[in-house]
Amino acid sequence: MTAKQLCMAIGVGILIQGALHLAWGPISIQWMNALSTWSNPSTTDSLVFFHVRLPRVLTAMAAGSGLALSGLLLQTWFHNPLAGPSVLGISAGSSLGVAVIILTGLTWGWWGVTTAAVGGGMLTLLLILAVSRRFHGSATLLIFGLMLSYVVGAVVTVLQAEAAQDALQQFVFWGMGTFGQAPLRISGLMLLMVAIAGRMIFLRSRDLDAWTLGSITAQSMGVDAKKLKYSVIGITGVLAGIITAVCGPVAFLGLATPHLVRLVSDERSHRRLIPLTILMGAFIALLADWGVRAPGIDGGGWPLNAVLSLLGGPMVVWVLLRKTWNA
Amino acid sequence: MERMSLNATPFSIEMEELVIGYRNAPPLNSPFSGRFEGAGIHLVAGRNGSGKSTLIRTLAGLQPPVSGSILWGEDDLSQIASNERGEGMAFMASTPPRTSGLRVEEVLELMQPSLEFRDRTLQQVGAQEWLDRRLSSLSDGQAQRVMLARALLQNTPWIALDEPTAFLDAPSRTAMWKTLLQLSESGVGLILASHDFRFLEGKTALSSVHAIASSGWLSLDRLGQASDWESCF
Repeated sequence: MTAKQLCMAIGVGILIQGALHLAWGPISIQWMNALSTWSNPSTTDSLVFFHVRLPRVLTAMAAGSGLALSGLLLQTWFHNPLAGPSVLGISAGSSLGVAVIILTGLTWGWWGVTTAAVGGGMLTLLLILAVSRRFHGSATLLIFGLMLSYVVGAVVTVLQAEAAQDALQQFVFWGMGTFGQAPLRISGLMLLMVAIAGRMIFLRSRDLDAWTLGSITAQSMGVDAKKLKYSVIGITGVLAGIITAVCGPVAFLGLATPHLVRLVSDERSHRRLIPLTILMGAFIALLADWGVRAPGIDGGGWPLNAVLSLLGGPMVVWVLLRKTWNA
Repeated sequence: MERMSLNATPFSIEMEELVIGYRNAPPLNSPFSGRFEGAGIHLVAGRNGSGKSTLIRTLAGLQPPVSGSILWGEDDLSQIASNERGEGMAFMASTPPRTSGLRVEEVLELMQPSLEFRDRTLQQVGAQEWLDRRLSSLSDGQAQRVMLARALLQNTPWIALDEPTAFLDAPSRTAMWKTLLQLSESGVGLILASHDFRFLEGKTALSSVHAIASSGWLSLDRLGQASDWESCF
């Protein structure tokens, strides 16, 4: 199958899943009723459609795509198959930003939480970049990310101990991860940002391909390492930060999706990997959301991060057991 | 800086009071000055840890000097933009990339060569059979030949090579040296750091021989014997 055909296939998968997610739920709705009042959603049908299901689908797609793209960029930048926004502690950094806002009782609203999350994620990424030149071997980077997550976790725990009851509850639910909290305009905005980021980095496909030959070799080919670095930091930090603010610290999607793409496709050039990874991320996120929504039809439901960890944990082990990750 | 014309004769490379090394580490040498000029092979020898590889990367503009400066022709290397730098000097590392999943064809396509130029270069390095292979599926010797082809396709007046034969077995080493000698006759300038230089002894393509010795920068007799060079450092 060519990359184009695979893109089409995943695209069709996204459309089918999206339609099913929109159609299925504890309340049955009439689509025609819902859509006919789109400009002024007032009936139950249109409220469920525009305020619950559509934002959820769009959020899942944006989060899946954005984290997958972040994972791909981090894996290429660090020449490390196990890099990803959650394992490197970037999501943890964003969580700390969110924790500071929510747990200290600051009511800064959505923009405040998001800015804090982006700031926390970006700071973590800068910290990793500053020390990563001293790292030898791919495991060191991973252990550093893990330690960073522990330290951040400890700070969050201290904040939790001091926090008010309702703030604590809000934070704990946020930490489980969900695609179901963002209003329609936010989910649309996220999707737009992923599209812009994808387009921006797609234009640097050649630089990213050159980077796989080694950072020194890439620079000898005329690649501006600083520019590429800032593109990777900027895109990863902003996407992972915003997604974390909206959906909670989402596990494994960023790390595992690029490997799924490498599993189903022979393509390794970024010109093909970037669109494939973005589409695959949306597909996997929608797939994982069934695990959250389906058992929850009479209330409850599995937390998103539980579902993703069940899928993603074995994936990482599988990558570790493979001899060459990029073959 | 003026756009360097491709295929031009190699511009002169001048080191002025150059100190090389890494940030937060003691410098590798006391300041030295020297010059590389003209086509052919310019050998940099020296003991392990003397800074040969660091010098090669510094001369190629891939690592800033600790102090002093490097001139490419008339221009200070530190002032040359990265894309222009890539038109002046190509670089081949001592180890081939081991994690790139790109196919050989895709690696070469990064240089956007004409098909004719690509196929001629592949033939030159003996890598025409592997276009569809993944770089990571090739042996070190095969991958190094592909990386040499990539460097050639950059079509620069200079190519810097850091220990081009370090990880190769004996037949691959001989093949690599033969290719490099052929290349040097096509008018390109090659600066290379190597321990494995006996093959170059007495070759007319050898334009200059230098060593980084404990006493500093040495320019040696290019027509001399490898054992004499060795005794200097």
